[in-house]
Amino acid sequence: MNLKRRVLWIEDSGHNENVALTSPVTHSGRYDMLTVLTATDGLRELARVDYDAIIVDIRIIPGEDPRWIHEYERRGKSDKAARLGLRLLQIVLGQPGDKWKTESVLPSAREPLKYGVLTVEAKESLEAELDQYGVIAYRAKHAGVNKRLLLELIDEVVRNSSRR
Amino acid sequence: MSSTFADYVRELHFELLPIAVYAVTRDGTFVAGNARLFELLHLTNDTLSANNIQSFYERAADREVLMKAAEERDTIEKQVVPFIVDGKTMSVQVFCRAIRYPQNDVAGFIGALVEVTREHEYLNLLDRHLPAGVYTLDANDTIVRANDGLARLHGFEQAADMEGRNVRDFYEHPETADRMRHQIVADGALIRVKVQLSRRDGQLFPAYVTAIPFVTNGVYTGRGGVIEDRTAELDSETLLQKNEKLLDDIPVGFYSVEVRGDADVVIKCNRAFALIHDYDSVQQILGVDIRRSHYITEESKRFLMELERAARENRPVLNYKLKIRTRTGRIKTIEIDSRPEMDEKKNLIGRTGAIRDVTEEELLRATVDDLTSNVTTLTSDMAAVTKDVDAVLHVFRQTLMQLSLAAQSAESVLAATPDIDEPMPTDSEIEEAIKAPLHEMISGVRTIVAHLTASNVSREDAEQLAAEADTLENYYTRPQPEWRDLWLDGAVIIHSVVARVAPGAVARSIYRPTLAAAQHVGRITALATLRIARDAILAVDTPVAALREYITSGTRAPEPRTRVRLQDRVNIAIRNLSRFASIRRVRIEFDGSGTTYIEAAAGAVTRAIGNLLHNAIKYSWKRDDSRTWIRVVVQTDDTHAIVTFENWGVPISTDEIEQKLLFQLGYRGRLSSDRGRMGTGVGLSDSLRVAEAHDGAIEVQSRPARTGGNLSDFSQPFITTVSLRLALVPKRRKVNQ
Repeated sequence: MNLKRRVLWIEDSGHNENVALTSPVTHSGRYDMLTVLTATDGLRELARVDYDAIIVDIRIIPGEDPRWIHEYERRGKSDKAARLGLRLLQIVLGQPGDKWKTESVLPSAREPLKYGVLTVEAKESLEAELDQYGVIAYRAKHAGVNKRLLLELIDEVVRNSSRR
Repeated sequence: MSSTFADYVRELHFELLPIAVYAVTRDGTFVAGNARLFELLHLTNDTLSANNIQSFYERAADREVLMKAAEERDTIEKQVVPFIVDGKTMSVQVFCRAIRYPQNDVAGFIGALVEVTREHEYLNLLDRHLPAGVYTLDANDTIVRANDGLARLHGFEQAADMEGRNVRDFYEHPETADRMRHQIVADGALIRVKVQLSRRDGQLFPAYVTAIPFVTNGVYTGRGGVIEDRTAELDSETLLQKNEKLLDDIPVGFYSVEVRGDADVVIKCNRAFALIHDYDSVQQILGVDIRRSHYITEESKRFLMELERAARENRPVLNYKLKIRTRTGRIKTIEIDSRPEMDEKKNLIGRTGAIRDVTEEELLRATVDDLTSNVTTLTSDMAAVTKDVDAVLHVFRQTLMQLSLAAQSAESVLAATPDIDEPMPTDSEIEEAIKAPLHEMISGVRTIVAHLTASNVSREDAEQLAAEADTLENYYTRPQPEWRDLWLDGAVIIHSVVARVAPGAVARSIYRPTLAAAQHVGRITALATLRIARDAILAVDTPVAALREYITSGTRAPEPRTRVRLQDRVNIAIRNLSRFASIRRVRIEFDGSGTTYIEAAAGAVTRAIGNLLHNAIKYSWKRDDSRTWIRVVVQTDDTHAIVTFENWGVPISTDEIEQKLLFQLGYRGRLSSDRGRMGTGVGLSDSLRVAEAHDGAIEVQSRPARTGGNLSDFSQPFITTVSLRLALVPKRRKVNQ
């Protein structure tokens, strides 16, 4: 039996509004997916486990790490203004800044092609940063999407990553 | 003892004196001279006696005057005279004294010569160019010396033309000259006395006269002095007088106050100063203690302290605002510019300055401050509200997606047997799908009711079933989609009752098909309802997104412009709306193979295209021949790229287009709500804003689809074209998203 690929989904609605998206992933039989709800948990996972695909929402909540709470407060105390998902990508793939300089994530987490962004934010509003970090896989969340949206994004990330 | 003048001179031993010294006989023959003399006049011991001093004088008369004076007065005479030495003119200061020897007869003269050529040139220059007249009069008021300045003042070409004239000729009233002479002698001097003098042509001019007397041995011998022209000064005075009138007219109060104890007494001011304090005239306010007008004691103290500080630092007090209470009790704010004055003991003794009534400005400022404060608060509130609205709309979108996904799940179960198409079912499709199972269910119920009634098992249940069958049969004869819920509820009731009472009372072969038919009716109606609901979710998702973008546009950083391929933007918008279009059975025709680049904010342009495309889908009617499509075309002209959306369906009235009502925020087209179409009235307004930010516009046309159709007949389909114009190279570099 083939080993299932490990997928991390950092999405604060991953256990609620967006849970329907996980079903096709599970039923595909190809992925072992962990959903975490906060930036704190997301970064912790990247330091702990090698993932084949990491799907990040842009509007995520900080979690219990005071540094993330500080980031959240410094950026306007709103999910939208804070855009902690984007900050997480910057910390892992870009310039982390002094506070996060010593943050240790696994080397496998530093590969931009392993990342996909699934968000309600328009791509144009993120394009500059995503280009800067080298993240190319993106899907928009809206009412017109298919349940297979998350699965399709994971498939794309895995495809991109394996082509490397 | 010497017996001749020469002997006498020889005994004087002036050879070694450091200035040129000479002795001449009365006729001018040199008797002796020292080395400096030889040097000055280019003489030697050998040539001395052969020369006569007279030959060095440029003007022979000069020597005669000098000799005469020296002989008469027995004093050392001195005079600057022009000498000519080897053909070159020089100015020489001659000191000369007559020598009476051996008796009283003048035997000759001894003297000294000092060359003053350079100094004299300076004096001449000064004489010529001094902007004042310089003169010397003798005891008889005759002008013996004048400079060019004096000549100019009196209209003469050169100073010499004035010399020899009596000064009385130049006074408006000649007796004034006499009076002045007496006064000069009595007082020792006249300093800048104002007089009227006359020019050569008789014209008078105002002047200052300054003079000092020449007195020798107590005898008045003449006077010298300066004449200054006052014409320009008088012009200034006239101007000043005019200005004083002006000062009365301008709304700035000028004033001087004198500190007397605790009072600031007005000693001088203009009319504006009086009026600002509500006095009717300058006279009324002169002598008033103006400090009493200071409205607030503490402010007054602060002002006086500031005055003292400024005085110590030798600077004025500028732009100081003070509240005053005027004579009539009005409260005003004045702005003060003042220069304080102190005495030698550093006590404030007065001040001079200007005041301006700034009461209205201050009121305005206070009002503006209030408004600014309110606006700041409002802006802050708005920012908070905007943030909240953004969060709420974000949740709405999440919820819409959740509902849509849930609907997909439910559909996947209900549509296991695809009685109706995946897109939103039409009325006739629902009718067609429901007809057979509804008929089967109703006839089955009739049979069951007959059996139940015959067996008398449950009269009450039999009656309920019969009633439901009657109801459904009534509606079955004219099936309408609005009755979906009625059919659904009826099917649920029938299934419930039959499943409860039929087993054991009615043969399985009879009730089983009825239960299946009831399930079928329920499934089809539930599926239709779900799909219609999902369509509604999709229809509202884009407007909610547009509304969120619109409301939060002010809080986002402006989006920079980049080179954007317009066809890509259209394709993204089509992809985002493909499901909505699919459910609405609308085909979008677009040839994306062209290449049209514009400099644009990509996100904003995509959103604008999405809004317009969403409208086109939403307001399309299904065509009779089932060919419903929207045509999207990208074109360019010289300056703009144009994305045109053409749809077939809901009309837009001419007046709505002409009055641009469609673009008003929140406006919903008069005919737009037919068939339950939902919207927020933001999309078009938002798109227009994006177009205008790209130096473009939106143009709308709507005409009957059928040739010759009546423009006012809105029951017919219209072809509506909406053109989004975007400048190929817009002027502005950034666009609020």
